[in-house]
Amino acid sequence: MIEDAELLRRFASAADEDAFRELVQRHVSFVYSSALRQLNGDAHLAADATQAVFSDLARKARSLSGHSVLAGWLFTSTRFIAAKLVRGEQRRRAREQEAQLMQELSNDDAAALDWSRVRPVLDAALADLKAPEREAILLRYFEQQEYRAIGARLSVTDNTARMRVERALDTLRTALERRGVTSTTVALAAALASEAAVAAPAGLGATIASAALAGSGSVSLWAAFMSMTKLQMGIAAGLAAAGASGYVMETRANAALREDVVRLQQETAALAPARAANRELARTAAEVSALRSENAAFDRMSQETAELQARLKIVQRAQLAAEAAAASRRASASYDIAELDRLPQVVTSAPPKYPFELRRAGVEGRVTVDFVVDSSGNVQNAYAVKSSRPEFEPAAVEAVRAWKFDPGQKGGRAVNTHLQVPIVFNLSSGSSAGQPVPYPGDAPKT
Amino acid sequence: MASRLITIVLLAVAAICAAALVFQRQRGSVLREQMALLRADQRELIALRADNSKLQANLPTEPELATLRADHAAAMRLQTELNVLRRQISAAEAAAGVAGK
Repeated sequence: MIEDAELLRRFASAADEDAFRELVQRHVSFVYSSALRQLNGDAHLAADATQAVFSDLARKARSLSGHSVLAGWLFTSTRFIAAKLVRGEQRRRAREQEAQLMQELSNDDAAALDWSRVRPVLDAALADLKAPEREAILLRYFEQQEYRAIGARLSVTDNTARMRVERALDTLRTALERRGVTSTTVALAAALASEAAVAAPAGLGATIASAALAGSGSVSLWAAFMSMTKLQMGIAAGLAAAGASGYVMETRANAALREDVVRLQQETAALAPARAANRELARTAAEVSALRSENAAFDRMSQETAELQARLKIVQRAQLAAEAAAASRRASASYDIAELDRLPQVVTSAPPKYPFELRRAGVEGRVTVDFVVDSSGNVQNAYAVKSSRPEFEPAAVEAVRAWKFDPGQKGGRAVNTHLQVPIVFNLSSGSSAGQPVPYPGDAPKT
Repeated sequence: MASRLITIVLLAVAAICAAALVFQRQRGSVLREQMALLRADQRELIALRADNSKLQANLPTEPELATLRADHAAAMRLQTELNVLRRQISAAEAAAGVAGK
């Protein structure tokens, strides 16, 4: 058999109506009989009280699911509800009856236990008992449980249950005596066994169960919601609120970030052009720096060029002199004009070219060119002996070298002849050559 | 039964909100990384503009630059002439030495 506590838990957690109906069926007779007793046999009031008790049970099912003995709570609830219904009238009538009965009973110690005398004061006497003693009486005589079942319910042995019931009977007898009802423990036990439990009217259990369930079914969801522990609801609601608020805050923060990103993207769109401009400017700056450093050496190079040009001329002149000296040494067999039988005759003598820069500068000059006419009539070893301006010498020497002669003769054969010729550079008449004259020997150059 | 349903609904709402929050946090993390890169670009842009202004101020005008380039070309020609002169001097000195022997 399923325990009352389990049935109650099923109803409380899963709204198991069958479990509640089972509970009602189990205890309706006990509650009805208890209400009937407390309402002085008024069946109508007893039915109302019974329905109210089970309605309360339905509402408080979750909190009562921990009670191992439901009969105790049912008994207490029945008692309070019955007292609430007929408090004034019932109490007055009960006191009157008590007073009358107490007077009558006090004169008859040997009277048998009259249930009609016991019934009005029985529940009050039971209320005076301690809870364990009261539960033992209720289980044995109102729910008509065997000692074995009572022991199992109270978690004691059969004998212990029996002894607890007997002690409770004795205590109940004492409580009844205080209310004017005297009897023996045996007579009291017999009276309780036969009269305590009264079956509820047929169908009352089903009617009460349906009414109680109907009264609580329409708001089951609300009741379940309200019955949720505050802690569970608080935690779940707190989590939901925290999640929602966090989402909203993060969404707003991200929106602000996106705006900043767009703004920065617009600003940094000019980065690539700036980089290109920077590269170009750096390249130009490097070029300018290189140009300036190279140009700084221009003056030095110009001076060095002038020096080298002058030096080149000197070296060339030395070279020519050395060549002339060598030619002179080689031409040691050449003859002067005075020694010849026939003088060399000019065949072709192109005038020298006036140097362009000297003509443009308006410079005139004179160059004496020393040379040898060999036996073939060609000019050899031509060089400038002296000159008014060295710039005229190359042109004069070059021109003389191109001359052709009919060679001089001595003894009927052509011989080498050593000659000198003046070359004049005149702006008005251009360049011209004088008559070749004999080589004067080591004539100083001018 | 009903209480369990209510609890489940509330927990489901909390789970959805948590998932949405995680998603937004990830988006926010990406945006913050993007912001960091853009701020670095912004700093580089500011530095480049300052550098460009400085370079532009030190550069010569176009006519001055053309003059520099022309002077450079003349300097190159002068350098070439110097090299030729040096070779000519060397050759002439060598010839004078040979002729003197």
